[in-house]
Amino acid sequence: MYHNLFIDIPHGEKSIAFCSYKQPKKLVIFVHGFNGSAQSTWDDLPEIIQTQNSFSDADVIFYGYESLKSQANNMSISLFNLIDAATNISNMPYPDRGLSNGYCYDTITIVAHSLGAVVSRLALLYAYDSEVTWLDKCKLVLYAPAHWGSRLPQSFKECFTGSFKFIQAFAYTKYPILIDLEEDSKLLTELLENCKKIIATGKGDFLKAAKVVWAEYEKVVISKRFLEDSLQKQINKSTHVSVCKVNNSFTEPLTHLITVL
Amino acid sequence: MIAEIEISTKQTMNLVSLMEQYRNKGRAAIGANSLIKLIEQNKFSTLKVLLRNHEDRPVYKESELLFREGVDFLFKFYSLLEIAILTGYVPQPLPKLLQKEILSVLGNEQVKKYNTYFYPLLLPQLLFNAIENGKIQEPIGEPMPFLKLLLLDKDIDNDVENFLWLLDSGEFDDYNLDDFKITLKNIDTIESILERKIKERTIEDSIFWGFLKYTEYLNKVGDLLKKNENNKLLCSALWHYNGYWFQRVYKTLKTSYKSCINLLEALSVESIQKRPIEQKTESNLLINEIIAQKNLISDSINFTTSPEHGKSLKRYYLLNNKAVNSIDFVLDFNFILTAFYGITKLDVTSNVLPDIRYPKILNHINNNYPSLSLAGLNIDRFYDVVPILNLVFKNKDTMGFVIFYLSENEISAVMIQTMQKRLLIFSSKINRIEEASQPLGIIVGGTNKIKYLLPSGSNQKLLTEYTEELPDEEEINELLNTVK
Repeated sequence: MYHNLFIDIPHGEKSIAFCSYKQPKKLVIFVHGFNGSAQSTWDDLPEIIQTQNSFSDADVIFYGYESLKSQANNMSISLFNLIDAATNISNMPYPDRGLSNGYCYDTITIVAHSLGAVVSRLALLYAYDSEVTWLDKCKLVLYAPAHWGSRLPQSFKECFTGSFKFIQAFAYTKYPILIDLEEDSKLLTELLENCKKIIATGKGDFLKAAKVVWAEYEKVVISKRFLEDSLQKQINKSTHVSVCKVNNSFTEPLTHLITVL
Repeated sequence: MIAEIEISTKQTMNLVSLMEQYRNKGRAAIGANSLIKLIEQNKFSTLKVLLRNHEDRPVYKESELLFREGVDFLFKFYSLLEIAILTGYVPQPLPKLLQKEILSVLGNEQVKKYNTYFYPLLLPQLLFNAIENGKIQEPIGEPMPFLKLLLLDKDIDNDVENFLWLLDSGEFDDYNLDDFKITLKNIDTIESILERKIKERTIEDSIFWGFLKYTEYLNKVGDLLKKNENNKLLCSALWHYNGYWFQRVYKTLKTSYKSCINLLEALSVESIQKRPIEQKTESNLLINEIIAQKNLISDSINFTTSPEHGKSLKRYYLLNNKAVNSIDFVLDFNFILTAFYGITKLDVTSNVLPDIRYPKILNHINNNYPSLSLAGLNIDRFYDVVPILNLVFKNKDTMGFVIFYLSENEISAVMIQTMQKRLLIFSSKINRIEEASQPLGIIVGGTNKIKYLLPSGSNQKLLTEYTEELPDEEEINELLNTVK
């Protein structure tokens, strides 16, 4: 195993952090999507990273937030607060590993699914405006990103799974976030424009996703390349929900991620 | 900074983290501080009251509830610690200070009663047993499933705790499980619960959400058990972490739980059918998905809560020689009674004729305890004891213990003497001690209190002190004839 017992962190909803036993060089933050949760969105990934050498020198955060009860902008500010705090290890309730107060990670990788991709890019825009020092260390890895929104936002209810499938029957009213995720919504249009502007200045590499992974059976979001994001990949026989889930019999999402770490 | 960290160092770091998160803060820390203080001050009667069975006298006072909640969280830590040991996640032996705490807390008589009899928890008993005997426990598996168990535990939030409180006969301002079932029968109520903003949620809403979340939790734990089904002992240890709740669902609430799921399915379908006609295809698909999901959930609840998972570790505890040697009179008997006998006992009534009743007993023993050396029988008349003993020991070579739970309130000295005689006869004439995988013995319980535990191996002295003349060969044959 490569990490200490996970720790609850005081950001978002049920967020947890795995601290490397070794001196950490990377910070990896996982951000779920609509109706996801810190862990379940990624299935068995929190355990599987314990056996992956690529994560041996990484502190890993599985970030959770209330995706049904607020708007994307609010979600992005909360995420920014977490990233900003996590980049300074002394801010975090981590076990003592003998690291100096000003210790810095070499890279910060934000791995996001669906709505999480929108929230993450918004958080990075917020970071840009805040002139933080860590922005040029950031990389984005996106699974089924929702940055073009959805032609049928109700389709996001596909994200109710397991026992919560029952809720789909009742949950027919609009969640506030679904307005943000409509195709050409005001929020998504602004996101696109702001990203364009910054990329045009030549200082926006942090906004270009290093990897984008789509589901073959994508029915929820519009599948289309976003600005200068890297070449897109696709996972066969996966859906919007399963494209980022990793377990012992389905490791393809992890394989894509590891190439970027 | 160490580049490559030794396994033992990692284990020590894991233990420190485990203690920091599950022992030294929050409700476990509150429970530990209060409990240890009372134990150190020898507040025997206070502990007896605070750690009583809530079925004997309900617990309503806020301070008592907080104390017991803290104590439960401390035991939860001990359970986790035991699995961590069994999976090699933390080092052995444990630090001396921690060992001392465990011996003091789990060795306390009132605490023993609380977590072996009133609310049986096997894992803390294993932990205590190992430390008391200075035993280093052999790992039974890898740490990864333990980590998964801890991760799944994050799903147990306030909503789930409220739901579990209801399952445990608790109430919120007179709102109890029956009221919750009524809530589930009303489609309008459910719709309003689902639409209510989080800040406006009532306790009833929270219980409903807790019910859904716990159902999902059962699914996930079921998956974890399935993934580890090749390692029955580990699977069993993981099951026992939730064993109390699973047994509660299985024994007393499975039917209610299933009907709740059925009802929710019916309500979901009804709600979908109200949708506009243009959404018919989409609605039908969703209905099919929900019905399929309901079946999966029902299967999963049956699977996850099944006490079968718990048996391997119980056997490990009971059949391990060292563990058996440590069994003493009242407390471990209580454990055995609740752990084994409560689930698999057979009710034997003297109203049924002997030629029907005794074959039925034998079938029960052969079917339910094929590999066990322990059986439980609930009898309503003492005079059934001797024929049953004859029958069981004669027909089942591996049978060591038979537990009798008598409906009669008191067990008299005469009854005990009769059974002691029977034991001596079997010990000497049938030479079963060598044949049985357990020492021959009879465990006897009454309706209210457990009276005697008579394992012939560790308690031979008690038996041989009995001086009354033994029945002769003829009398034995006569007795044996009664069971033909």
